[in-house]
Amino acid sequence: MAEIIGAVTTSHVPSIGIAMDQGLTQDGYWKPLFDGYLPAKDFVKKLAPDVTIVVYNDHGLEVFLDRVPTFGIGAAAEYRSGDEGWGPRPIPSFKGDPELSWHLIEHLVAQEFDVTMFQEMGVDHGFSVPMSIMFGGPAGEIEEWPTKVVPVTVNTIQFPLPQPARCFKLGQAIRKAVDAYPKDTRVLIMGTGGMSHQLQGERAGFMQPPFDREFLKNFVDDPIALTKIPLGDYMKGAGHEGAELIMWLVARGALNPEVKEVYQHYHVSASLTAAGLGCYLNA
Amino acid sequence: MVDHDIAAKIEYDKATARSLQGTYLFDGARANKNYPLNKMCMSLTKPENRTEFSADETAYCQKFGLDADSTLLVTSRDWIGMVRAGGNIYYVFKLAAIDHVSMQHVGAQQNSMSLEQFRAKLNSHKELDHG
Repeated sequence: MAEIIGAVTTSHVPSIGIAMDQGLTQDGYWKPLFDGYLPAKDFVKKLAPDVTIVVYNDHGLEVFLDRVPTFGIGAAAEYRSGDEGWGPRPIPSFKGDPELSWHLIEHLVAQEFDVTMFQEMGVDHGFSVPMSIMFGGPAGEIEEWPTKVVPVTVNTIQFPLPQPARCFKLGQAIRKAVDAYPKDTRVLIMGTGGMSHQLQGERAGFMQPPFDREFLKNFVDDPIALTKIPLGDYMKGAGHEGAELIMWLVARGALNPEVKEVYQHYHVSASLTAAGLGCYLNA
Repeated sequence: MVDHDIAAKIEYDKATARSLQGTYLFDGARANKNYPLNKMCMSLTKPENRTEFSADETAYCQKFGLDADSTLLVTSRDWIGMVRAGGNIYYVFKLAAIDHVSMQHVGAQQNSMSLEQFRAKLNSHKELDHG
């Protein structure tokens, strides 16, 4: 049988990808952040997932405003790093697991989560930067990804966004779907985005470490409290773009109510973003 | 029967977001407001379109139906102006790639700050972190 073997969470700032792709990870500005990633790399290496479900939002690669799926799932055999405007990242393509993808889709729709199905999709920094952070070498280098992937997209761009509680329930539904998958498969779930940051308007540059620290604490101790924070308060506390934190709740929903935090890292800042990362096991 | 709790929830989120100074909630009305601007920016994910844009920015904007004001905001790289006019930061930021400028540059301009001032502002948040 398949099982969710743990979760990792991380911010997905484009400039973190640029730092890796341009060999800047040991520069003074970036070193503290990348040094902080090393224990997470050990964590995922030891877990050795067969498949990683990556929960992220598309920032204008596959999804434009003409049609915005609230939740989507990839069902392709391969996902390539796409061109967001400055060319694709120089990384290998990601191998999918269509059989598990379709199983997840069937089981999610049966649980009344009517996800959009993607059979052909490129992935942007929201997906690829967390993958490089977790599975790349110390400087993000990678020859071949050691895990297959299933992309799960969440709309965090066009309001209304899904409710935080809905995101958590999506995670619970993913958990049930994975538990029902008959093949022996070790599945890691990854929640990406956040933490506090705002990119648009005169409030650009806003960050709020106390909000993030409280979120990190409750992520372990009281995730239900996090599902009750209104979206307006996520924008107030974490920024218009920091509302991406709802994607961490998908990962949390897929874990047991009780979890063990194996590692946590928090760094102010990676460009305009307070960068957080966590590694979790079911308790 | 009208469920007032739902209406109140929606209103709370919108009112809270709109109360944040310097924030432009990207809701349906805003997405409708300047669809051509966002669509033009989205098109820049294709290298051949970036080449065409760079050859004649105004003509390229006209092709996507941008009005004169929005076209000027684009050609003058008025980031805050584009956001106010209905540009979504993620699509608008694709223009920054054309110029090889960073989000810090865009953030500084939106704040009417120099890059150095804006970087100092970003750094100042370290002081708010008490672990």
